[in-house]
Parts: sequence; C-alpha cells; structure tokens
Amino acid sequence: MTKIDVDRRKFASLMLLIFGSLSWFFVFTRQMSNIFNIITSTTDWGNYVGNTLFYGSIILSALVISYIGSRIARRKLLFTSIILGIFSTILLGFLEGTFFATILSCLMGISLGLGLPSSMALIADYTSVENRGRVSGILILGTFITASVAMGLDVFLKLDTFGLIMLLAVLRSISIIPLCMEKFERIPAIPKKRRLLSYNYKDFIVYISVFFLFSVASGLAWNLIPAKFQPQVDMGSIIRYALIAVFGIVAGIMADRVGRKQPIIIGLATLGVGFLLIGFNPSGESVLIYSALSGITWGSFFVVFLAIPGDLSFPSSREKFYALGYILPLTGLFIIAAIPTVSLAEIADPATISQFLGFCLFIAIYPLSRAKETLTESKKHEREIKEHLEMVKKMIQEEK
Amino acid sequence: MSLGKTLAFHSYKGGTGKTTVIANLAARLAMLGKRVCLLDFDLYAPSLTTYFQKNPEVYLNSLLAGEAEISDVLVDLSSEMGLNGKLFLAFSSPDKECIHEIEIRHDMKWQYEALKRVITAKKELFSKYKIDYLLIDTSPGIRYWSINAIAIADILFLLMKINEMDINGTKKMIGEIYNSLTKFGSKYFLILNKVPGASPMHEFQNINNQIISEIEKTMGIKIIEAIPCFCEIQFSQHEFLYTMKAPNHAFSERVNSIADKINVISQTFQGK
Repeated sequence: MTKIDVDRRKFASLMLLIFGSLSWFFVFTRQMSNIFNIITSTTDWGNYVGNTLFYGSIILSALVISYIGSRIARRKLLFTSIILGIFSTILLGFLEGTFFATILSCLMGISLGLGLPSSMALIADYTSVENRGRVSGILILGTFITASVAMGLDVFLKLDTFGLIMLLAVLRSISIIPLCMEKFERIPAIPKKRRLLSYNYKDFIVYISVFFLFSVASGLAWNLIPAKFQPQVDMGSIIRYALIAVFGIVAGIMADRVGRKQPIIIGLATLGVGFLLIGFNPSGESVLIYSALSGITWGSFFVVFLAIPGDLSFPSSREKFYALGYILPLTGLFIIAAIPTVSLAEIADPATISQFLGFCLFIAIYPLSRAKETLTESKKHEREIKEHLEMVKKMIQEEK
Repeated sequence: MSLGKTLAFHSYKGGTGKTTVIANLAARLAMLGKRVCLLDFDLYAPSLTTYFQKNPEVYLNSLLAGEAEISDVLVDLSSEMGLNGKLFLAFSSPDKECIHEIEIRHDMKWQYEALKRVITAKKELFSKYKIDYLLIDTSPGIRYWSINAIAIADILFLLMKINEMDINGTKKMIGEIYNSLTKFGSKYFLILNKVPGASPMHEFQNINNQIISEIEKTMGIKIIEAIPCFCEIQFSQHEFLYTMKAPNHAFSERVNSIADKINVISQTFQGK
C-alpha cells in the first residue's frame, strides 16, 4: 500500500476531535437509558423520552447545520458544540429530575448534531480520495478502542452513575485538545458548475438510500432477538465493538484499494447471513455469531460512509453531506435499535421477518449498482503504478 | 565481466521522435565498431518492425512470457547493413492481441516474473554477446513497461519537445520516477528534439544555446543535445536511418554528437 499522505499535526487533531465525540456517543448511548432512569427516578423515562429527545435533537440540529453550517466559522462551531457537550455531560451528574433530564438530553444531542458534521468535514479537507478510506478506518479503530477502554474502566472500577458521567465528561473533553492545535479554517470554496454539483447530489442520494436501508434492516434485526437472549446480546455487543474496530481498518484498506462499493457489498452479504442465522435458528450461539457478523458489517459501513460524503462533497457542501449522509442514517440506526418497541419475534414468525430484512438488504444492492464509484479507475491505476515502482525498485536493489 | 552499459530512451508523451533517434543512434554506434543491441520495449505501440521492415518469428513478448530465450528473439542486422560493429535487434509484436495482452497483464506476479526474465536476458547479452551498448526504446509516459525499462537502465535519456505540456510532464516524471531510481546508481540526461528553427542553422545555434541554459535551469538536468525539427525526417517513410543514408545531414551530425557524448558518459560512469 502507498503511504497515507496527511500532515501529522492535522491528522492528530482530526483523531482527537473524532475520538472524543464519537467514543462519547458510543459509550453514552449504551448507558443512556439507565442514566436517565436514575436521574429522573423512573423506570422507563430514559428508554422512551430520553432516547427520543437525545436522538431527535441530534437529527434536528444536524438538519439545521446541513443548511447553515457552511456559513458559520468552523472553529466557533466546534468550540461551541464541544463546550456544550462537556458542560451538559458534567451537569448530568449534579442535576436531577425530569425537567433537567429533558433539557440535558436535548443539549447533549444538539452538541453532537452541531459539531459532528464539521468534525467529519475535516476528514474530507485533510485527506485525498486515495487515502480517505484508510484514514476513516483509523478513526473508527481509534474511536472503538477509546470507547472500549472507557467501558472497561467502567466495569473494572465498578463506577457508580456519577463516576460514569465524569468518565463521559473526560471522553468528551478529548475533543477540546485539537482546538489548541489547529485553527480549523475552512478551505475557500471554488464556484462549481451547477451540473457537476447535481451529478454529485444524485450519487450522494443513491448512497444514502443504501445506508438508510442498512440502518432500518440492521436496527430492526435487534428486535427480532427474543428477550431471553439478552445476556448473549450484551456479551455480543463487546464482540461487535471489537469487530467494528478491526473490520473498520480492513474496510478502509479495501475502500482505498478496490473502491468504496466492494466493502459495502461484502457488508450487506455478511449481514444477510446474520439475518438468516437469527431468523431460522434463534439461539444463544446464533445471537453471538450474529453480533460478530453485524460488527463486520457495521465496521465496513461506518468507515466507507465516512469516506463517501467526503469524496462527493465540495468544500462548501462538506457539512451538508456529512450531516445528511452520515449523522442522520447513523442516528436512525441507533433509534431503531435503542428504543424498545414490541418485539418483532413475538408478533410474527422470525423466519418471515428475517426474510423481509434480508430482502431490504437485497434491495439496497440496486441503488448501489447505480451509484458512481468514487474511487476512480485513474486513482486505482495511479496507486498500482506506485506499488509497481516500489516492487521494481526492490528488485533492482536486490539485483545490484 | 562485460563493461557494457544499458541506455534507455524515454519521453513523457509520444511523438518526440524517440524511436527515430534511438534507431539512428544504434546504427551510428555500430558503424563506429561497437557491439550494440536495440530492444523495442515500446510494447504498447511498437514501431521498430515498421521502421526496419522486419517480420521476426519470435518477439520480445515471448521472452516476457517465458516462452523464448533472448537468443531466439535477436535479429542480427550487422552484415545486411554493412556495419563495422554489431547490431542486434529484438522487436516487440505489433499484433493487436499481443498489445492487448500486455495492456491487461497488471498482476504483480506476472510483472515480477517477466522483469526477472528481462534482467536475466540483459545479463546474457553482456556476458554471451559481449554487448557494449544495450539500447532500450521505451513506451512514453508512466506505464508498467516504461518503468521496468527505465529501472534496468544505467543511463537514461529523456527526449522532450519544447512545449509546456512536455516540460511539465517531464518534470512530473523526474519527481515521481527518475529521482527514486537514481538512488540505485543510474543517471539521466535530457535530449531536446524537434526544436523549432532549423533553418538557417547558425541562427538555430544561437537560439539553441539560450534555450538549453533556460531549460537546464528549470529542469535541473543536463541537456546533452538539442536536435532541430527537420520536415524531411518527420515525413519520411522508410528512409529513417539518416546516419547511414545521409551521414552529412544536420540530423546525422547531431546523432553522431550524441553517440560521442554517450561514449564519454559511459567511460566516466565506468570510472565511478
């Protein structure tokens, strides 16, 4: 593989920015219902209202940013969102009651919806198309390692709710460090031809539709698992997180070598096998295997869809593409998976539902086949030539 | 151990007159009594078969595929051309299918094996055939077999026309390819070809000196010759070997000058 050609300082600042926000998101969403139930002294406020308010705020603020994001100074936007995130997390440890829980869940959601599109837009600004997949893979790997370490600390230190909240505040604070390292100025926008922009929008919509179909199918699949397998689901989530990290890197390398579509197709096929397992043979083992397979798929999707909005957007439309193309489908996936509804397994035959979900994945192939491969043939050829040159140099060196 | 040198001729894009220069140079060096071998590694657009009007039974493509040895592909033109030294040629196939095959064979393993065969053949040319100069005509641009050909050369000559596209492209290649290969001891020089203003020659010479110093400064490489643009050579069909047919022609004089400089460069090279 050719080297990743990104300025080290910029790369480090990007890492810290993304690690802090995304790892906070993954750790917080795992414990969110419990935290909200404790501070509201209820049994299910967190499950329904807290989840809805938090995810709803992310969606609304991301939608707002998709329209006005490019007009706001990026540094100010990042600073506001991170400070908002840190303080709302800290306040969660000191305030109690439904009123404050409502406000804080909204503020935490808004902090992510405001800041994440701008943070992700930096991936596109700092990388070129031929190394964006690998950089995204490293970001996902780092995020899940950070999140896993935080979760491990929570378990080993047996943290109470206050301790966990402070740990979350520390995680969120990681993102403030890059603001001391970089200015995060916007790349000046170059006016593009309307027709060129419309081509990119078309491909973007096609890719989003694939991510949405995946999100719906993947989210609903968790409701297919009978409640008695909850211990396996919990254990499976650890396996899933580990595999997301590992396959994130694999998908990133693939995305830079063979293109963005291949890891998506592999992801869809892998998840399809998972649906087959939990639909036709729901057991403790199949739940664990499903968790592993979904980890492979999520790893591929998280990484590839972190690269695609960057490939298709221009400096003036980065926030919009990341808000609509990454934050919204990702949030949708978590909403469907997190908010407890009627178990699908109780209202219909699991095999039938798994067939339906598998069909959703199958349908996703159609828009994918219509989408433009964002890693162009000329870029692939350029990379192959560079690798060939390295091989030749090695040979000549051995010869001499 | 032979002290022969491998010289590759390359250009950023086609139409620089690379093949005409290299064929004439090969003939000139052989006329001077040297043992010369010219390999047509312009595998994607071979033209030496047309130039020399030859139809060999075995092409270089077979050597790359491991189906033939270097001795099978060499054609000895020394006596036919009445040369003092020796001139061996190895042609690449102009057949469409063979060109397509070369275009699509990108797998590392095949490339590795094929390049190994070329290196073995090169050694054999120097040891068995006692070649003084192994001249390699390469494909223009950055392609698999142009990289391979450049890599096995001791001295590389970049042919360039004086226009912005050629200058920028050559600069790009210097940055991306040549510089990384010179680490292994190879050297490279520029030859300007088809320089406008051939007539009258003394005026050309004046312009030429200015151009040479400007380009040498821009590119950071030594220019060893500037060949003017001659219409009669551009549009000639088979009378391309001017060094033999018209040794007093201004073009032949320039080629002779390159041949002399090559002798000097090679000796300096050996000294190091």
